[in-house]
Amino acid sequence: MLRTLFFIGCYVIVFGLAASAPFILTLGYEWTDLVRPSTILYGVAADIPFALLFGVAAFGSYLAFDRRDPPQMGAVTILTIMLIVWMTLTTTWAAVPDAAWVKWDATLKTLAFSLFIPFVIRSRNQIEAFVQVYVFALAANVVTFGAKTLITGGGYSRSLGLASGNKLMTEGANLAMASLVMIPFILFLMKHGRVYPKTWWVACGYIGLGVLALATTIGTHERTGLVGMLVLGATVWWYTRYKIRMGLVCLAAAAIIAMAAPASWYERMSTISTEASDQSSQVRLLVWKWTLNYVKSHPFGGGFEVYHIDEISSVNEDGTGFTQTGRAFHSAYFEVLGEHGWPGLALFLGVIAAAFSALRGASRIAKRNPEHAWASDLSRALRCCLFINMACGAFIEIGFQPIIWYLIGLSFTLREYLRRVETSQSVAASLGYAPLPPAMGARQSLGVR
Amino acid sequence: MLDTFAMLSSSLCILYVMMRAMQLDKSLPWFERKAEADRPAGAVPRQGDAAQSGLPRR
Repeated sequence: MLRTLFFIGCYVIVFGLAASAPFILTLGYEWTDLVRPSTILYGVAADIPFALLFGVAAFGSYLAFDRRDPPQMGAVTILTIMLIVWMTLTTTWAAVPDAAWVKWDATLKTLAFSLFIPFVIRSRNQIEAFVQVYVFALAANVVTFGAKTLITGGGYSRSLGLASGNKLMTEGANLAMASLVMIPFILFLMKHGRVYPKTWWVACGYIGLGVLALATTIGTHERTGLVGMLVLGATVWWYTRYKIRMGLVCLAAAAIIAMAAPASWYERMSTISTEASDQSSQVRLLVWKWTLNYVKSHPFGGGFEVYHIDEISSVNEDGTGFTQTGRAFHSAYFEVLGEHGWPGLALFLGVIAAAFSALRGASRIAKRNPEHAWASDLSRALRCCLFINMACGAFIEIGFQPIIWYLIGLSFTLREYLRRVETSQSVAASLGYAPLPPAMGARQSLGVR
Repeated sequence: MLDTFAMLSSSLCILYVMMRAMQLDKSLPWFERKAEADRPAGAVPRQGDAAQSGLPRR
């Protein structure tokens, strides 16, 4: 009851704040979409569509009060719209229509919000606020799971987070990946954050959050988590300017994890090399094989949730055969391939490639001006996060989850922010405004030639 | 206990982020004014983020 009242109180405050600044509603939608209050509240409150309320309010307030400086039409926008159209088409011939339209509804909202982010989030402060909300929304589960891991050692399929289940943040592999995605953002915020004051206790807080994120990854005992940690270490080292220092930090972290991880974690990770005997991996490979066979006869896919009709057969270790149906894809790429065919997979990979291209463009623009060093570092952090998503996505179905689409939206938002700033500065220069030499007084901030 | 602490702290941190983002977007807080006062003479001031955000100026 108190938990419900607390959350309702928080959301009322957010609506109150949004009366003064419409972009707050977009942050509110991001918060509810990542935390999913329906999974942690009880009674009637669990049925209140908080995300829908925030989404409608965010869109409506943008149209009514905040419509200016729209982003240019970029590859990310065009390909995302094409993907939305294509996935709507595939849903019309879905093999499992009832379940397909339910997933279409959720996916449409995620992709539409990803398109909407660059319209609303336009300033540096708003971009940082978006990143901060992303981190702290995920932190709700990460702090809980990580702390319990430090106390108990964690375990495979243990519900140590805020809620139990097998979806989104309640699923171990998803949570492990989300924890790792937080870490590049935490490093960025520690260096360039302006929302929180730069004090030692804030730095300790961020470091503690990073430690809990790694503890959560270990505590889930997910092999996807190990893959994600390796990719995190490699990408953070690759993109940093201080390679020796970061290399030492990564080695120290690896050593601490190696010493502190429980024996059960090592047992679970050792199954990576013995995948033939592990039924979970065997089923995964069979589902992927089924998907490849399915798209041979259905190159345009079978619509959302097509895995419901899959049928896989194999032989156990003891020689007995088994047949299973309705096994999930366990891969974002096979999920998109099976549901939307080769065109859908091409569009999905195209959107990710376009996001990387937008980030490269952002880095190029940011390099020209030392004041945009923060944008350059955020671009690197986003690339690390996208690489982690892509690597972990090979083993978990995150193709249409908000956690990856917010990164895609933010990539384009950053690129558009730098484009706007560069355009306004070049306009100012063409009108004859230039910075004054050091001898002039500070009052005259802009001088005319 | 841990669950409650995590939810509480996460929510309060997010609310603080929202309030500070609004504050930064519209005006400079007191410690940023100090940074502005300490800025070397003749340096170009940071382009107002409010200009990028589209918020109406007071």
